[in-house]
Parts: sequence; structure tokens; C-alpha cells
Amino acid sequence: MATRSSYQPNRNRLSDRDMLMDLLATEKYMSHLYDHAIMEAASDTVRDAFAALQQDEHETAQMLFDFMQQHGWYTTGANRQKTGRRLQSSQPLSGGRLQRNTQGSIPMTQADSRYAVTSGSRRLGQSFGAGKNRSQGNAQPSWSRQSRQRSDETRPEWDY
Amino acid sequence: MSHSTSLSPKERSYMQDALQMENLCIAKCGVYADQCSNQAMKSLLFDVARNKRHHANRLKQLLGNQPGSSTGRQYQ
Repeated sequence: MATRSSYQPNRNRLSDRDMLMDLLATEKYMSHLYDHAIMEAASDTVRDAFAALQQDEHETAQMLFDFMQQHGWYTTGANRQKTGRRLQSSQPLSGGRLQRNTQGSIPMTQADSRYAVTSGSRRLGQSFGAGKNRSQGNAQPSWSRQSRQRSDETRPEWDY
Repeated sequence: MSHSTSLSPKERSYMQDALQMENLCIAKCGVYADQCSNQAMKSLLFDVARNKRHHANRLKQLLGNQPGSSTGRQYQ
């Protein structure tokens, strides 16, 4: 595994990769911290300051992530490995709609489309509602007007 | 340019937290830069540390402490 190329087992030290993982984790934490701080800020001055710091955190995290990807230290699974341009992959980027920059570091098109399919059709809510709250013979979709009027008492809360 | 009088307690609290984390990050960058074997990574860590130093100074400024003065003692 390439991630252990700089590992020093004899000394009680972190590997280069682990150091960067730690810094990246810190960046993530601080990004959350600034995000909360922006939401809680009362004055524009403070909010703008936090927002600027937040932006810097994002850029720092991006730098760390890019560096780790260059060295193959970030195990993000096949999806990222395939689409990362700096890795020696012959696979072209597919569907660059979500690409934010030329580094190709945010390739999430595969998972995105998969989620879009399952949550896009409303099958889940329909079967859930029908199984739990409707009689067996009721063929109406849970969101249809007649169904709502007929079963007013059994209408679940999420139907509103 | 001190904004300390206009800070709400929550804002101040978040800033103090952030300042602590920024300083921790600077310290870690220094330690890691000493220990790492990769020259490119070393310069990356220095870049990050410089960035963090800038953040810490900005936060101290917002908290009403001058960057070089001794009034920022509890955040060091």
C-alpha cells in the first residue's frame, strides 16, 4: 500500500500521510466551527470576518486534499480514484456538471445520480403511507385529492 | 480598530474557540514540518501555518487584542 511509503515504524511518530490526515480533520472541524459562528454572528462585521476565515479554511482543506491525492494518500474509493485527473487513470471524466475546478477533486456524479433516481420518484412515500395508514384495497396514491378527503382521520402528519 | 465593545458573548466565545484551534493548528504544522521527510510537504505545511498565523492575528484583532502585545496571553 502506497500510503505507508513514509511510515517510520521504529520511532513513535506519525507518517506523513497521517499528519496530513490530522490537519485535514482539523480543517473540517474548523470549517464547522466557522459555519456555526457565521450563523450565530450578530453583526455584519463579525459575520463577514467569519465568512472570510471560512473561505480560507476551504482553500486550505483543498490544498491539503490535493496534495494527498497527488501522493495517493487519500483513500476515497473507486469513484474518486477513477475521476481524479492527477492519478494515472485513462478513464475520462463523465458528466462534469458538478466540477468546481480543473483539479477534478469533486467528482460525485455517480453517487449523485443514484440518489436522484431513488429519491426522485415518490414510490417510497407512497408505499410507506399505503402500508401503514391505508386499507389494502385503496389504489389511490397517497397524495391524491380523493384519498385525502376520504381518509381524513387516518391521514398521517407528513401528508400535509 | 477594536471591535471588542460590540461583540456579543456568543461571538466572543466562538472567536476564542476559533483562536485556540488556529493556534493549535499552527503548533501542529510546526511539529509536522519538523518531522516530515518530504520537502514539498514541508513547504505546504509552512504555507498552511502562515495562513493560520494570519487567521489568529485577525481573530485577536477582532477580540480587541493587538497581535504582538501581551494581552493575548490566555489564547496562546
